[in-house]
Amino acid sequence: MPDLDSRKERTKNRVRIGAFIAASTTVITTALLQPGPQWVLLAVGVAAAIAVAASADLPRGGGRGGLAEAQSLRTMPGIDPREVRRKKRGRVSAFIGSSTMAISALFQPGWEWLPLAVGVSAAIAVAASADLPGRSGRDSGLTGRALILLIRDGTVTGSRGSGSGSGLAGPGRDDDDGPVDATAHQWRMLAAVSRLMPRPAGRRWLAEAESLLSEILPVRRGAAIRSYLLSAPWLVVMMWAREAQRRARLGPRRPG
Amino acid sequence: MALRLTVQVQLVLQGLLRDPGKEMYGLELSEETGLQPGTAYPILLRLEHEGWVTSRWEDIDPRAEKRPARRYYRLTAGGAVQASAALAGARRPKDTALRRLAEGGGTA
Repeated sequence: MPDLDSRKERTKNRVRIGAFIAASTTVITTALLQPGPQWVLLAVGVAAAIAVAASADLPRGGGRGGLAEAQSLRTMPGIDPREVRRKKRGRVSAFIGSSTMAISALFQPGWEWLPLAVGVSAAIAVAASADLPGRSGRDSGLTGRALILLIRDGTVTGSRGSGSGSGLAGPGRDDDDGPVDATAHQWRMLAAVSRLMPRPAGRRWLAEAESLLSEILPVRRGAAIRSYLLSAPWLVVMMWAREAQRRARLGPRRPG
Repeated sequence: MALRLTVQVQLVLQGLLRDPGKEMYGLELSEETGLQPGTAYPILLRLEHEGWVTSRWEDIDPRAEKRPARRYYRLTAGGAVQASAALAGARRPKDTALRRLAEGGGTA
């Protein structure tokens, strides 16, 4: 007799498939029967379908894989499976919301362009902040994973340093390393935000942040990272405005 | 666009003007002014864009020094004159505002 957990898993899968079918049905019926102002529904449907499909924890090896994965998560120190699920739900909701805005704006030319911009930005931000191991970063080499290693072990360094002992693992001014998990998460966000800036400006911002945070008192590190994150939206706008000015001064590119 | 002399900008300029010829890096300036690094950075960027400040990467071997290179900022000759004039003409922030800023790390 299957245990309670595997039954729960199967029920979840059924719900997931049901959601996918409902979303797909919305897409098809809207597109075929109501081609008019109902494009928003189409957009919602497409986004929801993609999101549900992409986020599904499809069981590996006949339905046991998902359960095994969930159990292994439970045994890993410091990882709360409920927290993981909550984060995943949040990410998927954000993706649906932002994609909907983007697609709706595309299909409703009467609308202002603003929702498109906001939607695309939010979608990129959400996608960029996802925990994708082994994801290649920018030239600085500061991928999200590298930053975590940097802060925990000191085995990976940033753009201008290599080898152990440099970067954030370098000698701080206090033995206390502070709340590593929270800081590591904020580091990932810093790296993601830097990707929203023009490339050279983003690289410099991240490199300066890394340099400063490697020397700051560990107890002040969290607040410092938060201050970088708080000022980041304004910086992104300012840097792109400057980049636009620079390109306007240079004029159109000539082939060759 | 003219530089707006907010309290934070004034603090950064005062910090740099204490010794106009001296180069300061972000953390040093942040400790000097009481501002959070994330607050000071956009100000330094604006000052650099206006030509008041110049900056450079420290030339070190990060492995030997066991830390990443710092970015050093220094007032330009013209920048020092302009900063002094601007601060002289600026409305001096009240002490209570400065205290609040120092307590809040410059984000207030």
